[in-house]
Amino acid sequence: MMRLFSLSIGILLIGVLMNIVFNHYFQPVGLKINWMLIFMLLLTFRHSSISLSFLGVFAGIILDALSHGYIGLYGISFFVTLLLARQLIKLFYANTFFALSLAVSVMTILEGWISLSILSMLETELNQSSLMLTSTLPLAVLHGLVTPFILQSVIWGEKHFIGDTA
Amino acid sequence: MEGRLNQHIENSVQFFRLRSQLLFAQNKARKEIFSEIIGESADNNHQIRLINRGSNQLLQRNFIVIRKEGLVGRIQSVSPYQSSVQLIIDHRSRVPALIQRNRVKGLIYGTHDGIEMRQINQHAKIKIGDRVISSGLGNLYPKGILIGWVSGIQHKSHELFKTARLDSAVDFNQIEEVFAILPSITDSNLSDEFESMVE
Repeated sequence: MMRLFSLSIGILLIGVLMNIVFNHYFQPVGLKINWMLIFMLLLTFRHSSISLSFLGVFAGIILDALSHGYIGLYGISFFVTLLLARQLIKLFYANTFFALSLAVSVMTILEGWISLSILSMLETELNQSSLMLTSTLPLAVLHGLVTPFILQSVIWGEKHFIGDTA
Repeated sequence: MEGRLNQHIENSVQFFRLRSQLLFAQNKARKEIFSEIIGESADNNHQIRLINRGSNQLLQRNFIVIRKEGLVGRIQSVSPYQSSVQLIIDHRSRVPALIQRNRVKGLIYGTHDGIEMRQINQHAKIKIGDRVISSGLGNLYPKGILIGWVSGIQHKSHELFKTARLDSAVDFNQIEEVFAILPSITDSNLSDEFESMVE
């Protein structure tokens, strides 16, 4: 458990770095991939630990700080998304690349919807449906496409840091 | 003798009148601080850029940021060595504006990937290609800064206002350098804080 938590922190920090540095140079169709969310979702799908949901709050608050928006916005959306992801994994077996890509895409849409819903509560004239169509849905597809590569790195990390328990 | 005295008085009045006009013009010539973009918001819901100038370079919250092409945004927050700039395409941004040709007023809203001019009088005659500039209302954005051009007009019969889609003067995907405007002495609200800091 402690090893998993240490691994999660390490992966989260890599996600933060990728969000800061990598997104500055790599923005397919003008969208910034949310690496932190992908990492946290994959870890939740693979380990289904409640501590990952709380670590997601921390990840969300880091993203709030990096986005210069409302503090707590992504903290809440990450937490709810990871809690639901934890329940979702109990309903069906998702340990193949395709199934995990699909699951990450679906959860990205959910996270986008939650964060935009909170934003639209704070800013009344926000066009939520338009942002869902132009931003969240293409981002979900992108997340689905990069998930297999991220999954490979997560599996590699698990083999080296958790060993046989992975 | 009386004539020469009258001439001196006239010259003196003219001198003070011109002097005040020149001082007014001099005050309006704003100082601009060159800044480079060093970062941006990490998410897709906000349009924020980080610049490499902060309170140590006399920048403050709500100072205006421009480029030679036009209006970029306003400073949202400052730290000693960097500031975050809210672009006008951010969905929280509102800029009072007018159409330069016929002085019709409206409000520029950010739509995340562009800008729209809303709350335009339904009887106003606007054309595609009209230049839109900041109106100076609200005392935040100075008057006369180019924002963009009208690229499309929307108006439904039951609506009270027209909405115009705009092509922004600034290409926000390409900006690397910007200028932050230090308010002039005559800009009332901001300049009070600015003067006290300079002192």
